[in-house]
Amino acid sequence: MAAILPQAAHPPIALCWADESSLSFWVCCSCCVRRSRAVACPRSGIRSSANSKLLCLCNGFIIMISAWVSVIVMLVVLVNEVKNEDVRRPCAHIQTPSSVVALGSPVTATCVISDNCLQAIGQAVRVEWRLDGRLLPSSPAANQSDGVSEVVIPSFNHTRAVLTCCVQTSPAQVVGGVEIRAGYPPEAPQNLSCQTNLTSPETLTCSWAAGQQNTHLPTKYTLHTEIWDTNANFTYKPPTDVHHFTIPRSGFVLYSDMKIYVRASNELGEATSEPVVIEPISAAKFDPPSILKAEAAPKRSGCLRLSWSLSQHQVWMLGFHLNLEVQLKTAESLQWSGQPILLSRVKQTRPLDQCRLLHGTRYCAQIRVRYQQSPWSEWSSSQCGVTLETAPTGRLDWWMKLSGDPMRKQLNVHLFWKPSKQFRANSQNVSYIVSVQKALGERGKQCATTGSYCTFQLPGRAKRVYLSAVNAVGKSPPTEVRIHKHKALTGISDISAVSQDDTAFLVQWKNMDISGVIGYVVEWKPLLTEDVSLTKFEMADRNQSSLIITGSFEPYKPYGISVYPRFKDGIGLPQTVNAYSRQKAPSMVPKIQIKKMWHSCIELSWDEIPLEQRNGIIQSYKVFYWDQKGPINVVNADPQERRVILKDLKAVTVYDAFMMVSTASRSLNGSRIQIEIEPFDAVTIVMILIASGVGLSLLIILTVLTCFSNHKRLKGQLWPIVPDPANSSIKRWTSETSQYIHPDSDKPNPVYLSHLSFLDLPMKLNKEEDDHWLSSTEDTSDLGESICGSPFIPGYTGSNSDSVPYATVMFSDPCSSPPPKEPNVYLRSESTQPLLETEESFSPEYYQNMATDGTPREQCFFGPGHECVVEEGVDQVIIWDDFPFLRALAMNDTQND
Amino acid sequence: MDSWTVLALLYYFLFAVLVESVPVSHTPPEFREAAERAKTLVEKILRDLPAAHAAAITTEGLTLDPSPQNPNLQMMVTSLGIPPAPILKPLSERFTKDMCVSRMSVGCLLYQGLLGVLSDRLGGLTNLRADLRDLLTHINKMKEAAQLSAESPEQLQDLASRLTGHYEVQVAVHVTLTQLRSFCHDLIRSLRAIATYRRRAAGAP
Repeated sequence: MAAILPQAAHPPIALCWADESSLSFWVCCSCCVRRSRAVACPRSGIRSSANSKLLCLCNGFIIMISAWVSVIVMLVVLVNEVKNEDVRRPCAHIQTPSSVVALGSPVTATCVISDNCLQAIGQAVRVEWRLDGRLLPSSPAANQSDGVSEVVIPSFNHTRAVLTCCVQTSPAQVVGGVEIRAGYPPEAPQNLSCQTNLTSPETLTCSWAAGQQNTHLPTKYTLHTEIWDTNANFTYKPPTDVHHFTIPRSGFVLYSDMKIYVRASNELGEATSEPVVIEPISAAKFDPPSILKAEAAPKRSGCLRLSWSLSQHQVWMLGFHLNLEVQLKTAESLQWSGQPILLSRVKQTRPLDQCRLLHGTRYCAQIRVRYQQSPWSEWSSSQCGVTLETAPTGRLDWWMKLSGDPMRKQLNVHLFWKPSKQFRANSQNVSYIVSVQKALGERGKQCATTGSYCTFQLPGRAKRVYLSAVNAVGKSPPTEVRIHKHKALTGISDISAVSQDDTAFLVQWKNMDISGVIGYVVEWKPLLTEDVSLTKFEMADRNQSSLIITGSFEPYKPYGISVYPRFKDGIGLPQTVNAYSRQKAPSMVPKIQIKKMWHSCIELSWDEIPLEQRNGIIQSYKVFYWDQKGPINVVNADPQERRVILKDLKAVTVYDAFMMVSTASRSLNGSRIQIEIEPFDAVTIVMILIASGVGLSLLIILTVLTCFSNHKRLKGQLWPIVPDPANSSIKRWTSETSQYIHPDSDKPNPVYLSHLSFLDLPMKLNKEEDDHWLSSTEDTSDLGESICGSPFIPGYTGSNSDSVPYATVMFSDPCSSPPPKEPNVYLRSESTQPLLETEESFSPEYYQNMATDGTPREQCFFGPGHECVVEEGVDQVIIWDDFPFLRALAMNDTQND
Repeated sequence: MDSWTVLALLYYFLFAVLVESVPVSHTPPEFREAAERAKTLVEKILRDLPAAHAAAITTEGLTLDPSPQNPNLQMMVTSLGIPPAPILKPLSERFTKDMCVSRMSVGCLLYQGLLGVLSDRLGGLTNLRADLRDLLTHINKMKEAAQLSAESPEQLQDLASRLTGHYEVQVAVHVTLTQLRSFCHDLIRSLRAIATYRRRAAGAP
């Protein structure tokens, strides 16, 4: 450190000092001398000639003043240091016994304020204490005298806090502080354990757990080892608060016991764990071993020989006895069977024989090893081998279904089988033979297969077949299969199947109380395939009403599960249910079709979803529909009926609708369609037409009736009766009947004209009707009726009629009275007097008007004889009196004659 | 000699032969156990040697397995002062178990010391040295179990000062490992023999 002091007594000479060594001082001084030369010598003007003198003078001067300078420098330094100390010294300092204390223990602190500070702030200043900025209440223990204050905190409950000493000036000033930490001494480390890693690099890793109590202080751990055989002790220091350490290879001796313990320490104390004594190999977790080969033990049925080895890193333990565990399973099995087999004191040089295994069965094995009580290694990879084969043993479970035409006396037999619990194939390759003969041979053999079912035909009288398993070594005892006919009996009801998971169904049924049931057969098969070989079955006892069937069930695929009752002499009728191991929404939604529409209703229907697209059991069809303003309506449909009726629809309104199909799991919405209700549907139109027709008909009938009832009056008003005497005649005609009844026509009864009317003729008659009419003219009673009830005269058409026929019916009784014993006499007259028609002659065919053929004075009766019979009437005068015009005409004729 | 004398002599000699031919094991179990563990450790050293050699030796031509390309290093070995391994012979009357175990111990000490010097110059030898230390520990336990005498090891002639260059270090490591492997093979044979060695009762030392 160097400094240039202010210029004092000797202005040209700069004062230098060195505070560390005299060497630097002299260096500095020479520097100063050179500097003085640079200042003083140029003024004197002496340069080269006086160099030697000046040098001597300078040297003497230097020596002389050096003593003075050193003294001065020392004084200055001393004064300066004293000044610096006064400046740098804190105003106060706090004294505590320890900055780290036990949590909850009392803490005492003393604040000593320096005299300088006291002079500056005053002697009577008051001192206060603060802990983390909070004022500590003054306690009796705290006292203050001459700048010394002491505080006692009875229980320090902070893990870390700053204690400050303040003077009560305005504002208060902190004059000193100290950080105090509190915690607990460490607890002894727990659960110390060590594990050797024998894979390069070989290490020994120890770990432990800290005590349960939080010490709030950093804890250092040291790991101590003592190797007894070498009397070597090692201490390892993991980082603070790290609870494990890995000892290198040089820190442990293989096969030598060593004592290991951990010591925990912090600022409040230390604690040592319980020591453990280990031997590094015994604490080693080996690498997974490997099975080199798994094969059948020669000449030992049911034994599997395993050749094995440790990993390459541990293969040097060739001759050591190890503990080993073996796990076995058949190749088809998914899980390892039971507890591992423990083998003690085995050497990897010797193969292991595992016996009591199934014959001819492929087994897979895996092993793990350890040395003494060391941790087990991980399991090795598995290796598989096949044990020696023997002939199959045990019986087979079977299930038979019969079909066929009873008329042909041939049975189609579907025989399914599976191994019973006692069956052992004892081989990898086993086949099955069905024979009608117990002795195995080509004769009687029905089928031979490696599968688990067979279809063959048998004569109807066959009672049993035999089923045997065969392998390369021999055959099993034959299983007798009795052929029972199916019976029309039902032994169960209420079958249900609930999926347990993808591999199981719980099938439940209700037993009907039918005697003779000896058990049940549960059969299941996938419904989307026709492959019979996929049919599986399971037997159940008669007391059972449920069974869990297992297998590989594809999700979202339907399975048909049937339960058959078994009787002593046959198989009953099954109950079948469809089931899914897992369900999801259907793959499609059927298309909605409008089936019917009427009034405000509409019937919708749809097709069934194909089985392969259902993905589950259809639980419901829901149709959602709504119009633009209204709320959404939902209608549920019966899954079996697949139709729904939407009611209360508004006419001339467009409805949107879609269908949601739900399985037990999910739902799927279909596409939206639009429906519009027409104002008039076919039914309405038909009904309106019917109503209109009925109304019109009623109107017409009413009108006609009214017309008939007022016929006379109406006719009189519209077409007043104008008799035409010239063309009128009255003819009496009689029917054959009347002639038959009155053979003595010579004596006719007097006829009285009771009524005269003109015949209302039909508008048109065709020729056929004419003919028909001609062919039926004999029935004159009809004529009478028609005249009486309906005056219908054939051969007349209004359009071409030239005369108006009149018929005078002369009754002795009213027509409505019962028929008289003697027939009435009908008189017909015809007038050619034009009324509203053109005047044309009209000649009826069946009768002739006497006035037209020149016999006007005669009255002709209608009749088949077409003869005019002159009636010699006695009342002729009276008649003429009634017809004055006729009378005048008659008189004129007479005069003309 | 009368017949009784002949019978007595015959009985004496026959008995002596029979007694002599019956193997009597004086090997304590601790000795056998230590020998078994030592043998395992020798196996471990033999397994680790190739890897250690491959890791340490980078000079071409210095291969662990004998090869025609291997240079003749005898002069180098002499100049470096690497001592030969102790000779282990089959156990016999002249090469006793005591001598055998002592030679084993000396050899282990020798190579442990060599590897100690060499591992300061070259990495990858510490594990091998630790294995040798463990082997030596168990050989010492064999000695303790059988109460065998100890033999002082041969002192290394300041090998470190002669390892002046990299090639010298390479040669020294190569020679040491090669000799160690050979010594380990001898150890295996000796340990196998010593564990099953049964002294004749009459000729027991």
